[in-house]
Amino acid sequence: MQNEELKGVDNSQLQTLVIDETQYKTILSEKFTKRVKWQKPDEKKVFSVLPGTAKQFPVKKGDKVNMGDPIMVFEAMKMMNTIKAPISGTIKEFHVAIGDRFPKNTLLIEFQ
Amino acid sequence: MPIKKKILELQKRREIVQLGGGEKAIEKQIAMGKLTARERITSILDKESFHEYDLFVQHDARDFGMDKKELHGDGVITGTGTMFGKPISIFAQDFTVVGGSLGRMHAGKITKIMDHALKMKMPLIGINDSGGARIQEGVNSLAGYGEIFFRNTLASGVIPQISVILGPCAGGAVYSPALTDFVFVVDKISKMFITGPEVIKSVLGEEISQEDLGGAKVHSHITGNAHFYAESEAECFEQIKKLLSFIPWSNTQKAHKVAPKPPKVKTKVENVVPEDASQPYDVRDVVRCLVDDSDFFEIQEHWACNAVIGFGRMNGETVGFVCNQPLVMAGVLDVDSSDKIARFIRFCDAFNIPIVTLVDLPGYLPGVDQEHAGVIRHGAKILYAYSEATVPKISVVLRKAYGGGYIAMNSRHLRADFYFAWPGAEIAVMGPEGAANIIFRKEITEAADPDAMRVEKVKEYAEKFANPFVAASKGYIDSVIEPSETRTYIIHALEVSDNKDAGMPKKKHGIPPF
Repeated sequence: MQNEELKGVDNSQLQTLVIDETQYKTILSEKFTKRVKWQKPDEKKVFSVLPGTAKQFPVKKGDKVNMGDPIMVFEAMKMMNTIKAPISGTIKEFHVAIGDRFPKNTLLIEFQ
Repeated sequence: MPIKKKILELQKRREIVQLGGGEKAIEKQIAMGKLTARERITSILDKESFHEYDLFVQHDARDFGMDKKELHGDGVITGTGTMFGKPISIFAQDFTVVGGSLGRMHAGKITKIMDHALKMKMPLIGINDSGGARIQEGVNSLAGYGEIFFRNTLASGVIPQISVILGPCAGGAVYSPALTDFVFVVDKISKMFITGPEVIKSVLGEEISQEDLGGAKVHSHITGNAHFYAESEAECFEQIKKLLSFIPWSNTQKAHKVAPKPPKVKTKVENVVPEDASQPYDVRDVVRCLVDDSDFFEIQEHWACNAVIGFGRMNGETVGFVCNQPLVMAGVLDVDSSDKIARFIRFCDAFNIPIVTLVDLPGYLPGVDQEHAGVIRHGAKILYAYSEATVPKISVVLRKAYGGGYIAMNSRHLRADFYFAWPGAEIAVMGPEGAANIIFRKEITEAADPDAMRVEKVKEYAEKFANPFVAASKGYIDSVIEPSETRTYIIHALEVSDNKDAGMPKKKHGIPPF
């Protein structure tokens, strides 16, 4: 039986999925086609892990900080949360200002 | 007072209480496209079979002016009745009475009927239509939920528990359905979430509708929290009846046997499956060629579609089918399909339903998202569930069983009782292309024409190893069978497995990779 004889399945729905170098004709799930491509995290960029509001910056642009130093305070889930420097280095840029509301995965601070 | 007068008084009292939240509230309920709690119960059960209990239960809350409020039935209807003439316990939350909110006595009515169900060994159907905890009753309503969850867990694997979501079911309330065996949802009516759109908006600033957050489609298609999706309440009730026709009333019984029927579909089963392992087909068509009357009742048909699970009958006896679905994602195992399969195996095993596994898979889905989502621990659930299941377990390899997927899909090594394969089956570590490229890497790269050499080596490997006879020679396959013999082999295997005693070691319980 050829795949065009598949009942109720439009041939255009069939795509190729390669597993162990074998090509399979199949319908790709939405979850698979919409998956986010993985990227190596850039340790010089600090992203929000929660949506929140920027409240305080204990450091300024150009400051040298050590790993673990507090660099930002934000409010989320009715709590004050402190972000600590993930690396030792110099603050290159703040991408949010005090009072800004930001969603998850927003670039907050960049290191040089 | 003469008894006649007392009877009249009872009738009057009943009439008032049975109106629930009153005519206006009932009008509102109907305007929302919903049936009333009482109509729902009588539509599900055999005609005239419903007997109600605790009709006159009253709440005892005193705070926030609650002492002045009379809530009929305390917002829930409970009782017993029959389905196919067999006993059923049922409760339905009544949204017309303060939004079906759950207080202490409301919960007490539910736990009482749950206790009955467990004692009398009959299925429990719970119809959820509730705004959530009755805030005025404070911690008492939380206690009520906890008592329900505890009983759901206690009854799990003893009696079938069915949850029907016919309205909102929010906050902690969602955990009762989540603990039960089957969850039914209806389009535009069912809504389930832990935190609703308003909380999400105020805390996270994300705006979403109830429907998009936790509507019927979300839970049947995306989360996998629901097992059955219907367009209307009437369709949903038919699904419930159909499900109950396949399953036993408790873990000490077997499912009701019906008169055997031959498959209705007359297509030759080998014609459903293309020879070329890279071509798809719908494995449900294979099941329909095998089961009585070609009647296959699929569970979770819209979620993790690369695996197919459901019930059918072989020679009149209920069988749970677990299949890879080459039509979707080439039938790979992944995080979601592992969860789907493992839980179904547990249900079948708890309720004495033999499992037939139809194998055709290229292995596990590669990808960072899968690895990071914990495909190791999710995939392990299948191994655990199959290994631990003591019901008769039969496998048929239709086309290919590669790698870890071969082991996971009820292989002999996990104590399949009978393992069959069609003559075209390939049982190997991987497909010929991948295997030849690894084994003959040197020959291929050093050849004058590497591409020609690759083609030759793939062919060589395919001829030598891509067949069922290598595995059969080791006894890993019990019989290589003709496709047309599949039904008779399965039926015979079920017959001879009837008195199976798996002899598992004694333990309190294992520690599955939940």
